[in-house]
Amino acid sequence: MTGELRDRGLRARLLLLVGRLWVAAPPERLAAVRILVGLFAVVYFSIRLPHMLSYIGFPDRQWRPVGPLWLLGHPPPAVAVMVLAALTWLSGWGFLLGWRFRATGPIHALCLLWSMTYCNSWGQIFHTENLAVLFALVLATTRAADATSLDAGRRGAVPAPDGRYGWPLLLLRVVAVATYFIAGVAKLRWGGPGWAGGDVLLDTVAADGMRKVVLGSLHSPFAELLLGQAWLFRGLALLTLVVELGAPLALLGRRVALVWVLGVIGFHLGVFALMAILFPFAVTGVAFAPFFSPERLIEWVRSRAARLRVRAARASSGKERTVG
Amino acid sequence: MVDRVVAVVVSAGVLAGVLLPLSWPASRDSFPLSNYPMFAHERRSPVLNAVYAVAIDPDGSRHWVPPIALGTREVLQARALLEGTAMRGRSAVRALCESIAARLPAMDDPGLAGAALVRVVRGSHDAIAYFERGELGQERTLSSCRVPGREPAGPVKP
Repeated sequence: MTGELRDRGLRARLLLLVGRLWVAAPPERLAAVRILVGLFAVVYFSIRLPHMLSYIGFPDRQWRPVGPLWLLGHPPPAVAVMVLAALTWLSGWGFLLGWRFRATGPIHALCLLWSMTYCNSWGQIFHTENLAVLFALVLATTRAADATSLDAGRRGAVPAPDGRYGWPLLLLRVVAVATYFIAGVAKLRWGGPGWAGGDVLLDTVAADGMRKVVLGSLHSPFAELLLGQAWLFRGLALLTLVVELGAPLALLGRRVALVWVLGVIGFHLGVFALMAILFPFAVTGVAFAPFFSPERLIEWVRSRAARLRVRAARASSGKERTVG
Repeated sequence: MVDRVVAVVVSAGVLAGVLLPLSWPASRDSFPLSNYPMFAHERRSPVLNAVYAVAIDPDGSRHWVPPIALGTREVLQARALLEGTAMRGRSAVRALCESIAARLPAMDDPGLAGAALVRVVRGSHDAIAYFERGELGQERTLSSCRVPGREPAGPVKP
């Protein structure tokens, strides 16, 4: 009897918690995040494709499978890589446009996961792609094509704001915040107290530049100029830790989130300036779309496109009249 | 109700997955889940120890070999390839050296395209000394090979 009462109490508390997190959001907001993530995925994958195909020529002994490919003892055959690359790219359009999203959403997310994991399974993990893949996987399980999509156009009516469009946005915010927080924890765990003092950062930036020189690649000219300024690296190290460990504060509200997002983008621009390493998912702002109202951006693009269409139609009818 | 169950299951799974790497040791990393160890490890000096390749042209001038000559466009992938090959021993390094030598004549950079000799080396360089004074540290040749069809290179210039 006591056990039953305890179970009921636990269930009630769980339902209360779920109810609190079940915040209504307009379907257009989740759809806008889907469009931005889909657009990013299609463009990024198109750029990454030549790199991905170049791995086909890599020797098998270089294969170091990670993540979902962990169990593959040998690299997949070239045909499988090419077919999955094509499927990733094609399904990306379905994801972006919201066409048969129930199928294309999960297919694209899984293909993107597979393709990016393949690219990261050759002895070097690129931490610039993790968040984009996680976002696609989360969105694929949601009703992200209930508005601003080909599916919604076919159905006609757009549903009212609901918690089913709100929880994915909250989850994406938590995922974004968690990745930065984990990176901050890693610096404290493995970098030691020297990290906050700036010496580790200075030496890391210097060695990274040197590595790029000996590997015949482009290195940042700014790093070369600033290496003598130890005070600057002390400030940058402290700022990095504040931005990363302070990430959970961004969940408190939009204003705090805006401050944090500007800080993160500034941090990534600093990394780009000093180390020539670009985190495009963050720098383009796509990673932070769930914190705000990206549907306004989509609406603005739509209205601009509509205005351009009207102007083009007027111009062509004017021409016809002149000819007549 | 179904929507709420899906939300709870997906959220719990995703959060558990994203936070799991916090329990991993520094030596472990994965994709897409990660403990983001990049730039976290304590570095006690600006000295870089690395394996890389240099091309020597007929007049003895040296040129850094770019990632594309190793069959990739990614600098970090090139590093992984060179370090991994060096760990596999002399014959693997020799094979890599020859594959670089075979690619060099097709390079856009005339210095690389005209190279006569390739060296895969392990070098140790103080980055601050290099960027401030242009000083290079020590190098040890792991393997060297001639570019097919080229005359031997002259004495290597510093």
